[in-house]
Amino acid sequence: MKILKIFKATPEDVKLNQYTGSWAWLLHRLTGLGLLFYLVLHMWVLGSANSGPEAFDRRLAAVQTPLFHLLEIGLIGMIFYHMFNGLAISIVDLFGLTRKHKSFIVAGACLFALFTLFAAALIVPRLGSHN
Amino acid sequence: MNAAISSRSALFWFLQRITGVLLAVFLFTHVKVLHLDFNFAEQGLIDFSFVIKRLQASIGWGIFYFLFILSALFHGLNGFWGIVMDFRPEAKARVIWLTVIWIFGITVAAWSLSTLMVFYGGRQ
Repeated sequence: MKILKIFKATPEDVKLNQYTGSWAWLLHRLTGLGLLFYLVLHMWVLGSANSGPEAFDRRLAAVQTPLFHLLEIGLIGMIFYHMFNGLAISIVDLFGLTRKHKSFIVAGACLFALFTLFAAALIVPRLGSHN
Repeated sequence: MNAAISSRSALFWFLQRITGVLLAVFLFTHVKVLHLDFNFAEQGLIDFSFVIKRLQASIGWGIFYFLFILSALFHGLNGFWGIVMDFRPEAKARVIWLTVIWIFGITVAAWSLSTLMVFYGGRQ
């Protein structure tokens, strides 16, 4: 429970604050950290161009496999969650809709699920089409 | 909280929203060109020659990707700073975190620019 001490929260505080907004706040931060980590990995892959075309092709080929394309569904899911929840936060902030914030968070989560399923439906049939 | 800190926080809050919207547009364009319009079965794997041909078709792509990276870095690192502040660090720890974030951001931005320059013939 060291993490709770850093946040200056107790397990009781966590139990008492299991609201829609609390989960959305946590997921927004976790997906944000995941995307920041992905950005660094992506730059590491593309940055191999600095070592020449062969190094670039080698590293890029290593991440263009069916496994990585399958993992992209998780990445797209993180992007859609972060994007739609961020949009919900912005609308609530900009238009003074604090009292309706729960509805916006739920709507954002529904859009995330819908768009991620749509992306998965586009990606999965293409998994077997690699040379 | 003094007025300077307050107005800087408001500016960063606003920029976080603006870069968020920009990222959605950049990302959609990037995914459309490299994933939705790209057919692995017909075109094979994405490689150096494909990327250089695509980027050299227009300097606009170079500007697009540099702005994309800058927006992503600002949005990601400003968001990370928000997470750091959730932990209520002491003043000294705040300075250390801020220094690390700035050095990291400038290094990745310079690395990205250097990578883009390779595709525009700046260095090979």
